[in-house]
Amino acid sequence: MTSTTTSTKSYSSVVKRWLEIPTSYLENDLEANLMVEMWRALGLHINQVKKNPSIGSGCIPDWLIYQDPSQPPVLVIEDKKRVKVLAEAPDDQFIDLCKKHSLYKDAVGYPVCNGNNGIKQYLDKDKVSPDYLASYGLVFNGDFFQLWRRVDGLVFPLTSIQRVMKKSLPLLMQQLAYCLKNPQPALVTAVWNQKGGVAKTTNAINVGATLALEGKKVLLIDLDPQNDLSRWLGIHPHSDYLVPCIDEISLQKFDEAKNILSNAIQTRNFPTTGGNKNYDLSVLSTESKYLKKFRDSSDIAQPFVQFKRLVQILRKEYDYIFIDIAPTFDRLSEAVFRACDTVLIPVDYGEKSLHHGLQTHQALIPKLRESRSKYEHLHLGPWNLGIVFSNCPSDPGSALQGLIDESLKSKGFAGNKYQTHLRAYTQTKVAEFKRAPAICWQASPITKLYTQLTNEVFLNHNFTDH
Amino acid sequence: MVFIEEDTSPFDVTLGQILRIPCKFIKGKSDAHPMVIKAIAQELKIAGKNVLPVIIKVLGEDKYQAILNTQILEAARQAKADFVWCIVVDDKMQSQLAVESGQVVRVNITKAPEKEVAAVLEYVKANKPGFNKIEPQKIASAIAEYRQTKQLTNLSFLTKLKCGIGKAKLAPLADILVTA
Repeated sequence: MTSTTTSTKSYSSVVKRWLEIPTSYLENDLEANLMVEMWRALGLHINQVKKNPSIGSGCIPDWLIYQDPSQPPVLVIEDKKRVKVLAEAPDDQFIDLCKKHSLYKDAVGYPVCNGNNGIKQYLDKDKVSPDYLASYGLVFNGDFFQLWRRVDGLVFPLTSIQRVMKKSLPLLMQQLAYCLKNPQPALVTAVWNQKGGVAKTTNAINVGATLALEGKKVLLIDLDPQNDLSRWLGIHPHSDYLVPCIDEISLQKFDEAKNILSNAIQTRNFPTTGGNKNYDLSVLSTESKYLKKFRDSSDIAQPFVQFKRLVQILRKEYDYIFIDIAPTFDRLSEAVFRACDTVLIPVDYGEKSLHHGLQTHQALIPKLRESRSKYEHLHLGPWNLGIVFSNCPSDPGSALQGLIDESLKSKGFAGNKYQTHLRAYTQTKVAEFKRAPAICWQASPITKLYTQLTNEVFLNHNFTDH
Repeated sequence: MVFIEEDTSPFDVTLGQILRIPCKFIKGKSDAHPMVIKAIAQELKIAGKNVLPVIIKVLGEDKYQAILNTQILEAARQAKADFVWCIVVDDKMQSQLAVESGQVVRVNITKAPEKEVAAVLEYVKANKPGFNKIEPQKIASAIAEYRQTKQLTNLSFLTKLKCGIGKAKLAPLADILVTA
């Protein structure tokens, strides 16, 4: 979004209006006197805004906002009345009060009572017809707001809960304008566990390939200095793109940076057995020594900011981006965690991988989000997709399964745990030698498992807020 | 291209470490002789990298101000270099830098012996323009006497001593005779 004088002015009109509304205000009044002003400030025409549309399965949100009325909506909104208890809450208690308050819980769609209708339901592809399925959701009551994002079936927060303030309201407006202009930027996912050997690379390749076979535009970024991902796919790593691209970005030469990336990306077409379907996978990789150069150079100014901008350039071109990183927490992995939206954690049936996986889920990811929130006032990440059991023996036996469940329970794991357990099949090894994703062998049982997992995580409705 | 949901802090820059910074984002001019700039530029063209870092401060996102070694920045520009190697400092480091580079001499008058205070003032008298009429020993003795009974918070009591310190000198003197 380009910030023009007009839009800045318009947003100040929204702030002015917000300052005028009472701290206790009915939903209808809030909509008529504040939200309508927000739409006006965003320059929306009457045909871009729909009030109380019926979008399927008894779902009636407060608003749908369109960029192009002939396309599905960009934004679905659930608003609530303004109440004194939240409006007058001290800053340090505001977020906790919101989380517990039925207005916020109702707006998001957390189970409060039966038949609840909130953003969680309005972004549910099983409940809402495709024509009405928005890419973003907003909950708003004049005091709290939170943006949500949907990518295919996956629904996750785009921001944490925020308080509406003179400072944050223009940021919300800017973010809404950005969402309208960028309805579907790529979802950037890191596949990571600090324990090695849990099929990080295998999962990045095969989940990516499954999505590509579904018609999605997928980019795999190999940032592991071992270059296993590139070697598996028969890609010869490009010469150095990373530091030259970061240099162009720091000089604000974005077109040049984009050219470097375009030249470095290699796209391979993969056939599948037993069908006529082919699919493309794009890979961005460079030799180990150049990755180490970025990792170890002490004189790159703001490496995380510049890397995030690099990812930002790529977001426009793809539906999904998966990044493979080494199982160590170094500058490369930190740069990825500071740029990505979501993290998928592979674990096996071993205690070590479970321990490190849960550490990442429960401690590292929330800590990274907190650290990013100091610099990113709105758009925030990364969010946990959950744990996926990989490299599993065909039957863990009930004793081991019991121990795993007990361990998860004792550590208070409340995130997503996917039903599909990826088993260790020889086909995966064969695929590695053949320089192709395992899912190219359509009749193989591992293909079936990857299809199930990809559906569970990305394509079917899957809600995460961890 | 504007990344609206980025809003990264401009202050997320590592302080005190040598970093490559785009020349075009650094403000600052040098009063070094054009011949000197030209010579440095030629050296930079061959070496590709400056050894002596330019000292800069953050003004805002992608905005810096060169405060020391500006001749190198100007030479890098002349050599058409995209980047120059810099050290980013904050106010506190800039103040330390002023001492390290010999631009400022400083003495803590709450602790330093009278003799040392006098010696610093002798140096200031000889080297700092406008301070040639001060009386170092008289000032040092007055400070030593004052701090025996009272807490030294400012230097305004010196203006009554007829020791060459008027009101106008108090501010520049406070940079030299510090109380913390």
